Amino acid sequence: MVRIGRDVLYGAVMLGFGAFLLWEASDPKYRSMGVGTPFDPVFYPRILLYIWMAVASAVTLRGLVRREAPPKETHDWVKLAVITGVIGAYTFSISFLGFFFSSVLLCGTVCLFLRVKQPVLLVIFSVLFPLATWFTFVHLLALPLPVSPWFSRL
Amino acid sequence: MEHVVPALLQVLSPASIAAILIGTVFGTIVGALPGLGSVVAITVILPFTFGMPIVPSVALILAVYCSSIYGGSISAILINTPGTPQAAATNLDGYPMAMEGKASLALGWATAASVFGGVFSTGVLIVAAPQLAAVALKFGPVETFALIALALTCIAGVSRGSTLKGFAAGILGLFLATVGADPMTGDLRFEFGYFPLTAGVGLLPVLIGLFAISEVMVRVFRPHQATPQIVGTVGFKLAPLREWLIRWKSLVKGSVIGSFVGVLPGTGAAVAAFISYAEAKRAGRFRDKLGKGEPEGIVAAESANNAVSGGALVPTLALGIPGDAVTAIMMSALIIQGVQPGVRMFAENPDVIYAAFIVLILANLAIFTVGALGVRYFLYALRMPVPLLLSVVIVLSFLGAYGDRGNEFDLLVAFIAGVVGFFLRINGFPTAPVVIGLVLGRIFEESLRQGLILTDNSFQGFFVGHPIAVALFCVTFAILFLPPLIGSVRRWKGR
Repeated sequence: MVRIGRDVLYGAVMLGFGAFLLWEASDPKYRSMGVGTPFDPVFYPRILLYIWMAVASAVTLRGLVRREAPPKETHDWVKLAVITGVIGAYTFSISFLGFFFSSVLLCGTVCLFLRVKQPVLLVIFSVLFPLATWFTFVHLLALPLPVSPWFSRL
Repeated sequence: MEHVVPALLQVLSPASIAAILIGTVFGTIVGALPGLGSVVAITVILPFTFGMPIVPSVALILAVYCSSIYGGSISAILINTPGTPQAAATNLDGYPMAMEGKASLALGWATAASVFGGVFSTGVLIVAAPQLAAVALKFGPVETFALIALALTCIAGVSRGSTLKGFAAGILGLFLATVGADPMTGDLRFEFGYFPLTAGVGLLPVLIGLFAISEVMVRVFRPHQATPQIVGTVGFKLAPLREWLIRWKSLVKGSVIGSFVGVLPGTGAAVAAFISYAEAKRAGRFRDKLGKGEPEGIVAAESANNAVSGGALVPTLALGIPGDAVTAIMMSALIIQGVQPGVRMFAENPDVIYAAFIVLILANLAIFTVGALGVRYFLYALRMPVPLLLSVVIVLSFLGAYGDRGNEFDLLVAFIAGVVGFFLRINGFPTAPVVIGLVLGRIFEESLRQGLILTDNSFQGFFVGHPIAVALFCVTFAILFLPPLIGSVRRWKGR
């Protein structure tokens, strides 16, 4: 995708996002709020959204007018998709597996996928780093972390 | 003076001293790792401050801040890759020196110049911040509104990438701050019936996502870089005093430039380093040798980039207005600790202010000690496999997002902010204005609405009887409209 297309695409997404929020801000429920004050609670957000729409239109228009050559860079979309998926899975797994086990899985997966070639290093790092972090937070800093359903503290 | 002694006692406690040393070592290492830099360093260290008392936590963060700027010079000199953008100017003379077999000497110049710049700017901070805070005491809601409008315009206007995209990012941040309860009436806005959104969008998860998680994604997305080759044998060697004395002008000029640039919103250490380097190239004693391995280039760049640290804290501590992403994160760390930076901080938490001043001096001195003793060991960090590094960043980032409120929703916010931050970054949208908009959004809205109450709901009233606000608005309009106007005139003349 060329850069000009990207700017237009981003501008269009911004316009869509702004339009949706303006639609939400026009909800009649807000008119009955803010009793005793001269403005309803979405008065200020609405000003922001109008400016946002103006800026989004300008980004889109500029994208249409300016014919810039796309930057010559090589990108790895597959790696990005996998890592984003792994991070996303980690986000949700912390609640179910607890901090320690989900972090072991995350470290192991990231290192395996990004080709850490020493298996001993991979295993040691994937277990020891989450363990050391868990110990530091739970025991030294006394900050509770999410726990797994199998162990009461880990 | 009454606050200095209690502050000094708190700073000299074992916990604070340990925090300064650990923060300096950590910041130097992360700063030296190419591509990470100060923002990621502070983001990653943030969760460790949650369980700490306020002074040690401030000490840890400030030490990481100062040392991460310095750390960038190590990789700039040794592997020809600046660890941080701030060290790019150091690279111009540092790497040629290393190529000549003078890596240890180059590191000595960089370390000592960094320490001088950092201590100098701390002096500027100590003098300027209370004065600025005293002036700001006279500010009402209209002036506060005008000041924040100016700061946001500066930050968006001079952000890397296009100005238009900077404004879009700033407005996004301001809008995110409106989610949740209305600050005046408590009515809920934009929560879409989803309970976790009633508490608003957390600052920390957003900034962790925008800076740390998106950094991981960007590093995976962009082509793999080869393992860096380190030039020659490495140690730490200071040049004789007479060598310093013949370059003192560049050292002092760099420190002054860095301190001044630091105060300006949206500029940062990289800009300061290049301005100082350009000044050395214009008027330096060894200007003809710059770019070929001349220590004056290192001195000019390093004194300036480290001097930014003190300068940048002037508006942050005195006005509660962060000038860049790093100070925005530091401000949020203070807020988490229950301290709101700004005018009232000088009256309500003078011990914390003075402790911060003392910590900054000690942190800069610690840079010298840690640099002199540890530089050869930091090289092991440069050889750390990237996947391990990325795993560490991900885990600690999510801990930071979770640890602030102990809320699993914040993990989701951090992830979404990471994905959004990634897409913003790859298309040239700066992410710093989002965070600064989010930090200032609530005060901005409150000052606007309180100002409207004062002026009987009239926007015109903002321009009558408020000379300071009018002056600030004039500067804002000039920043907004002069560059496109000048551009149009030039294009018209060129036809």
